[in-house]
Amino acid sequence: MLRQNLKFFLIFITIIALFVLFKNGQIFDLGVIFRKSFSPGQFNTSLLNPPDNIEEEYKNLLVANNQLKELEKENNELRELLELKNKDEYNLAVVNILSRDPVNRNILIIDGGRDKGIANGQVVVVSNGIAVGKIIDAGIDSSKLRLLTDHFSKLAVKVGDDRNISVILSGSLGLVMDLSFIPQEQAIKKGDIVVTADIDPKIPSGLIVGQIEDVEFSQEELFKKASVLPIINYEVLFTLAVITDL
Amino acid sequence: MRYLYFILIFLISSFLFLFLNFYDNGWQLLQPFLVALLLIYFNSEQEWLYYTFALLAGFFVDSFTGIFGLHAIIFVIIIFLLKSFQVTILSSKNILSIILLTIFSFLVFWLLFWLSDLIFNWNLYTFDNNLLKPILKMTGINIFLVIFLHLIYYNFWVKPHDQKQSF
Repeated sequence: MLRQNLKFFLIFITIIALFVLFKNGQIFDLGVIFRKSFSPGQFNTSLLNPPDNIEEEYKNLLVANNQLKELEKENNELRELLELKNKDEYNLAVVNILSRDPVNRNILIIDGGRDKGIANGQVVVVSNGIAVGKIIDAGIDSSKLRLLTDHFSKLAVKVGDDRNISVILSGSLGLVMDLSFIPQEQAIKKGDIVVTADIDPKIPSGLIVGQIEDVEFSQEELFKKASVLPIINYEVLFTLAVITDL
Repeated sequence: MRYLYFILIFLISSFLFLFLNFYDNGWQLLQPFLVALLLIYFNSEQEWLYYTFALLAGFFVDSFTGIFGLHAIIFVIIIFLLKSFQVTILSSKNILSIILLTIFSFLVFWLLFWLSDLIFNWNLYTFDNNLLKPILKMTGINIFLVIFLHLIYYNFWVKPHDQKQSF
């Protein structure tokens, strides 16, 4: 009986070995087809699909830009008067993506670790200050990064016109992010920008996280929910920066 | 009829596997194929049947991962170990044996993945503290599912039809 079992085991192990040898990465990649069919082509729509009245929008943005520049100038002058440290001076460690986790596509391996001052919990940004994830496992010369869309990802954020609503952002379905437990009386709407809050000492406040896509609420519920779309496509990330010191 | 059940169980497991993985919220750690494999093993006497199921189920899961063949090898190893136990020390056909073998199967399943991560650095599952709790929770649910479904099948089908339980 034991010998027969061993015979079956060896036959089937041989079959598996033959399949693996002849596969050559071509035949059985159902996962690629499956992922492509569900790939979020629509999730960076706000940047790829320009508005219809583009000229009008451009003029409005130009005015807003000039106003912001004036405000920045005034802010810097006031900071100098108050002798405050410039809040955008972060120490950055520039890293490249080595690979993605084959099962969980929201975990990336990057080529920097403790040798570059990277530690667990630090935030990872793309060059212009958009937060994309957090370091979960800092090795000697490589680290694992969990994207904000991962289900286990949690981040304290602020939202609203005056950035006065603090909520926890969590990943959902590996594609979008959710804001839950938003008090009913707080006004948020589609298109609002979500930024990092100043709760975590390792994460600077004001980094852009995403944009509100949909707000759900009902009269019976105490809290509202909202889904947040990333500003950039997380599938095409290449070079990132880790904020190692504030 | 037996082959029809075989195909049906495979299709249900495939559907559950894809459904749970799509939602990616901890439930992807539930192992419908391993649950189905154990149920087939406990209720079939034909060795080639559950070895074939292990092979097909493993290949199906592997086609979605970066390391082709790993799940298939692990499923076949689990069946081999269960059968070896059955013909040596745990040969009595009682519910305690089934519970012990089910727990053993899931321990071996995660142990082999952890070893593959440790030895070859194939981090198919990222074994960090965040994943440990969902793995333990889902392992508990998996074990409960196997025992519960086996008891239902045994009491409502095997006993009324006066069939022989394979194990």
